[in-house]
Amino acid sequence: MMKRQAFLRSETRYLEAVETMPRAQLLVLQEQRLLKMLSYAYERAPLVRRLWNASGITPADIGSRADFIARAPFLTKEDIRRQRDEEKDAHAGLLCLDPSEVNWLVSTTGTTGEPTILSHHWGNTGLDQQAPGLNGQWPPSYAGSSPRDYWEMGVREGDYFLNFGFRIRGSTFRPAQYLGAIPIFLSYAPGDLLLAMKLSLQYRPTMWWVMTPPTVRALLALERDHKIDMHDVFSSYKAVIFAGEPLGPQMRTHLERWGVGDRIFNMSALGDIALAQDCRAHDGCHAWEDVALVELIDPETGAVIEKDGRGELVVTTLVNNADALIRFRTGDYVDMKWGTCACGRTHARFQPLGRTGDEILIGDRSVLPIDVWLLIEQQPECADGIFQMIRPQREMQYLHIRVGYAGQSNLADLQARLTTSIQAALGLPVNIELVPQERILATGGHLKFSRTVKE
Amino acid sequence: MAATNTKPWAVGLLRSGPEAPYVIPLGEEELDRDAQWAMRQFERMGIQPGKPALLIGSGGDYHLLWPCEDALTRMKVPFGQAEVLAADAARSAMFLRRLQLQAVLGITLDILDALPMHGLDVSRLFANMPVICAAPGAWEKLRSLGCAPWQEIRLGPLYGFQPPDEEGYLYNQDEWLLEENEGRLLVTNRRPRMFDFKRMNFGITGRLIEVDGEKRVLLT
Repeated sequence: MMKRQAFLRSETRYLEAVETMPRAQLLVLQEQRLLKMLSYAYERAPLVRRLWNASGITPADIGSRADFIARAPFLTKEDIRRQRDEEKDAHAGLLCLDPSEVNWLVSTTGTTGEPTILSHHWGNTGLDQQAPGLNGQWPPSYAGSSPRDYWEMGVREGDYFLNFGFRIRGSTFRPAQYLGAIPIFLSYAPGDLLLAMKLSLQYRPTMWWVMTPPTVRALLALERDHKIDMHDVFSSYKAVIFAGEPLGPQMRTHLERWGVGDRIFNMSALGDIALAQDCRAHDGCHAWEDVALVELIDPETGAVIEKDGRGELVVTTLVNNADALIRFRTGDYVDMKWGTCACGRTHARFQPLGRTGDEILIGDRSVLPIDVWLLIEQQPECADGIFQMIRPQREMQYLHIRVGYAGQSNLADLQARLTTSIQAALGLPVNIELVPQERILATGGHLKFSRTVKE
Repeated sequence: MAATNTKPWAVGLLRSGPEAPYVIPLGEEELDRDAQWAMRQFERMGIQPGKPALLIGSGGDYHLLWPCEDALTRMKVPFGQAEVLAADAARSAMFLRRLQLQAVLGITLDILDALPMHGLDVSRLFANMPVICAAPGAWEKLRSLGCAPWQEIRLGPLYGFQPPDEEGYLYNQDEWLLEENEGRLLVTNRRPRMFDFKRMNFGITGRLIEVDGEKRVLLT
């Protein structure tokens, strides 16, 4: 069983020195780990070997980070699914260990299809990447860098940590225990929210893991129906981790009203390699580049984007001895920043914007759901931000948006308000289709629904 | 037994009993003992190292689940994780479809009923499953399909496991004292735990029986 760390009493801002390592040194460390990982993965993972052989290269052809970026083939979700189905391999040709050596298996959310398996292994067998920035307490592949984020958010030894999350990514409370925090176990279920309120007042936790849009909607109902003082409930929290979808502006106003507006930290998957979270500068989720090589590419051409800006997130694990995600195209559309963060950390950071498959082109204008989110939420009947963009193909003549409304409404008036607002803001033609919001919610799972659909 | 005064490893919730929910601090040592007992039960079920299993459970039940996860890890059994609700049945279905599982632990009726919607033939699938440990509801359904599952129940703060085709639930007698009292079972911890259970009534109606010299719980 994992032991608590006794050394974490200091009040330094950074948990590990690697967080602020000068970027040039960080890239050297990254390159060392990359070259080791490539040989390891090519030797063991059939899908990696197949893709690299098809590209006519081997790890021996890669002598540097620059070589890798110039020559290594991409790995896509389609490659993974094809390998899984054609070879009848649950691990899709990515497993670098004998299946019997795997310790536990988690899976992706499954928003874009059947969940895919992610494997974890205690220890570092075979790969043996060395410190800095790695601890021996759990697999580096498993939320390996989250303690850095939690420390930055203010979690300290003896704090209580409200664990209100789905059990699909493993025992995600363990990184907080590494810091000496004490998890309070709840189920991610509406029925447990009242208990969460009670326990928040009793134990005064410092972190809520995790808040999602459905949770905020349920809390609003509790506040209304039970007259709960949410300001008091949230008064002890140093961090409320938000996940599942981007936090919409309207929803943010509720959290601000409850006094935690400045303590909301976005969490995003770093392409199924690790988790990435905001720092106190709230300028994007930190992609820890000592555990992953992070790239930004043009989703259409695959060209690497070296500057700050929007593009598709591509990740390569540097530390996972179980699953070899090498140059994996995540399908996540992000806004990336490479420079040193205001928090002092030298690692890249990104804002999740949506999925690359969400992008609609009208002429040369790129539109993502996030571009219309606030405009929709501003209408009181649509304050929950429940909408889908209809995208039969990427290029469209106009925006077709299915918007969910709550309660009774003058639909003609609502349609006119939405149309005027979106056309004025984006300068694009728009067709608004109104439906009761339950109809859209019913299309999704327990965490989120697709923001774009074909029809 | 007096409770220990060290810091808890975690805080769990018990949702049954007259004054539920009970907020229970959990100590590392007691969870370690729970894991050792879970290991012995899994071995008794026939679960073997190196072959995958599926452990279905909810995050709110980690006071019971963590010892099971810990036991499987110590046994070197790779295990998949999925939630108990029908809304998450796609995940269980994926593990069941993709892996040659040796055991499915904690399956609920919600999940079982939802599996056909994910393209699985439940009868065929479970007919060939070496070890099944099912929650009440799922257990009856699997029995009706001709399977011979173990059954798991909660006896307040502890699990009870009933072997296939046998009577009575096994429980950790070293850790827990169960007593009959006017048709109900009262629960006391024999060894120090962070939360002291003293003849607590969780509304379990039953009696104690002995099978091959081993005490078991028979629900009535």
